[in-house]
Amino acid sequence: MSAVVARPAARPVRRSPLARTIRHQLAAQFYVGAWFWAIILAGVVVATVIASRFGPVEVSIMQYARQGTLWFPFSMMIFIVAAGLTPHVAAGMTRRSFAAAAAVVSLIVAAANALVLVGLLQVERAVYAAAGWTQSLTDGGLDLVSSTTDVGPLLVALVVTGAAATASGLLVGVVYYRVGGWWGTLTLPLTVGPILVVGQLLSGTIGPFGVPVLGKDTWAIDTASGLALRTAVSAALIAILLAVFNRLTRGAPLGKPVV
Amino acid sequence: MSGFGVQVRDVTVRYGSETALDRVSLDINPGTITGLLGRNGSGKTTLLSVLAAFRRPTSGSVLVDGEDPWENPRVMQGIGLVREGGDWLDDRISASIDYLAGSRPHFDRDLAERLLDTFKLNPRAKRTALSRGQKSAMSASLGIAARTELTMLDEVYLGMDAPSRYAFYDALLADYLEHPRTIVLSSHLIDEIDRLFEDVAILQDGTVLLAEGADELRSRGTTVTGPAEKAAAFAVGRDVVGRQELGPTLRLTLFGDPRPGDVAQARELGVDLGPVDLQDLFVHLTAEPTDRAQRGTGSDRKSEVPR
Amino acid sequence: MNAIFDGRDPIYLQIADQIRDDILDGALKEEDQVMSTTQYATTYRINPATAAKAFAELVDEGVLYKRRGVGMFVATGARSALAARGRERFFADVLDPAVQEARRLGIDLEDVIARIRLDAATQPPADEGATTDESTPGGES
Repeated sequence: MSAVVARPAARPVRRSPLARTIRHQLAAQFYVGAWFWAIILAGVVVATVIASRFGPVEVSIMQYARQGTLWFPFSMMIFIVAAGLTPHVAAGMTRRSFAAAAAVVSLIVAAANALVLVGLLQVERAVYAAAGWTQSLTDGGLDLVSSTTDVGPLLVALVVTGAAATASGLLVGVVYYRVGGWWGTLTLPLTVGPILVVGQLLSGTIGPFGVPVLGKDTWAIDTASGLALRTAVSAALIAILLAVFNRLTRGAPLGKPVV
Repeated sequence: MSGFGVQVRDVTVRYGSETALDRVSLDINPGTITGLLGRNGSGKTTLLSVLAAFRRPTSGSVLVDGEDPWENPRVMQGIGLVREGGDWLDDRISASIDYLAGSRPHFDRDLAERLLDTFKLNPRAKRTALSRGQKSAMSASLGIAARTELTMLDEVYLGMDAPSRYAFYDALLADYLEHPRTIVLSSHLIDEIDRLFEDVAILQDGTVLLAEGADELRSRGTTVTGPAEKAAAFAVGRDVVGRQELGPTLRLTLFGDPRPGDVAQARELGVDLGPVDLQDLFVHLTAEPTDRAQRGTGSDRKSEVPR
Repeated sequence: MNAIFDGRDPIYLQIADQIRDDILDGALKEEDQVMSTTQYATTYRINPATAAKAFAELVDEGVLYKRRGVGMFVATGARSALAARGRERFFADVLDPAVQEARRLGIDLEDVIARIRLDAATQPPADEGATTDESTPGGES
């Protein structure tokens, strides 16, 4: 029999594997993200109501969602790789399109979460103003800004730290996929470390776990160019994370099917 | 849509210190159904993984439709490897159908739904809630419906009961007849599916034991049955691969090209010649020396008839 | 027509034999169309190439011929050709082995001959194939 493939009659134009995969992954992330924010919102509202029973509220409560916006997407990215790489390749698509899609999705998710958090902080400020409360920021990771009116720097900080978390999640995911539990865990300082580093870079004084690293004066970002520099360094780190993720994914043998 | 041909040249695959495939060379003819046979650990699954670009060989080359399949978008979208347990999304079956409809150019949704119905699977069921046999049925259904130019099914019938397996063979054959493609079937249950094969390849210990047409292979197996000395006399100068003593009667399984004088010689000696089906041939050809000793088939396969 | 192919001879040989038998019996007449390879495949759950192999052998023998785009047909004169070949082979392939078997069992060949004469007397002669159809009810089929 001939090996010549007779091309069938023209099919409707189909989206590229990259576009389809981005869509597919993003749809799942937005679904899961909606649940995440719904729960956060419920929690924040309840906490605010309870706090108001004790007198005027003096602290932003929404700000505590910040850690969630780092670690929840981080774990979702691990899941994208763990659950998604095998079916993707088994369905006849390349690892290249998977890695590219996942990288794009990681950035979109980070940006989206940052936008939502900044938006909700604005809403909280309005609510507090109406109630005569003070929305002060005490979370270490937000001490880049003194108030939520500094939307620009706030957004930058949240997007960049969020992207470090999602990029790191992808890298952790592929490392575990390729080498399993032992080595995956041993390499965590390398794979998760960057999140802490970036968090440190984009905070005014202290690291993400409230551990003072440098004095307020030496570390404070007081100029726009200072922020730009730190953003650039962070972006480079994120790029490295994504590059390593890309490399490891492109060469990954498929894991055994889970029966 | 036709079938992809495959050329494997000197492929070696090593996992650390273990060699799963050792300089394997093989051709799979486009548009044919090939049976890939081998005992556990023979390297079948590794070979299929390499053909599907699930992994790269340590050395050697693989060409599918004339190109290396590794990270090759055009070729990969036409290669489907269905593994036991399946590599699907852990979601509703319908989600996997949508997924494949997007990624497999020739995927036939109606066929998928009909096949799932044949196996009494509800598309709304979650894959994780399925039994082993149901998962196999799902994999088989979607694998056929994908209509990939190279469709490979690795022991996908495990866990399926006999009626389901036969339903699968019928469905596979029917769709192959209507939409020819290259199909590779790997299975232990050889006597159920050997009639579907046009070609056969047998792997043993990571190497190709033989690869030829199924009917050619079958014609090379013969049993000779009769009184012990008569059967032994017939077997002189031939490859004996199996031996069975039934009282004073001896049945030897021989392997080799049939010769023109065979029938006459058998008649003269007063022995009966019979065919050997692929399953038996496979068992005998891949038997380890210890197996033979246990079954009383004696020494290895050269012209000497033992005892 | 036998519905099942057992595991004895290679299936393509069985298919070819069956077609030859059908032609000799008159179940398949000249210019009749034979089942296609696809039909053989789906009916007996076999690879269509197996049926194709049987057809190829029969085409070589001149028993079948192919009409492009339509299918395989019984060639004119197939029946008489098969009958003639069968007649040639009868003595070497059927009669001699029967005689050998009789000897093995210790049957006196004179008894064999007598039995043959008895059969000849009680059963009508089979027709010669080239001219008339089967016209004898109760004949062996």
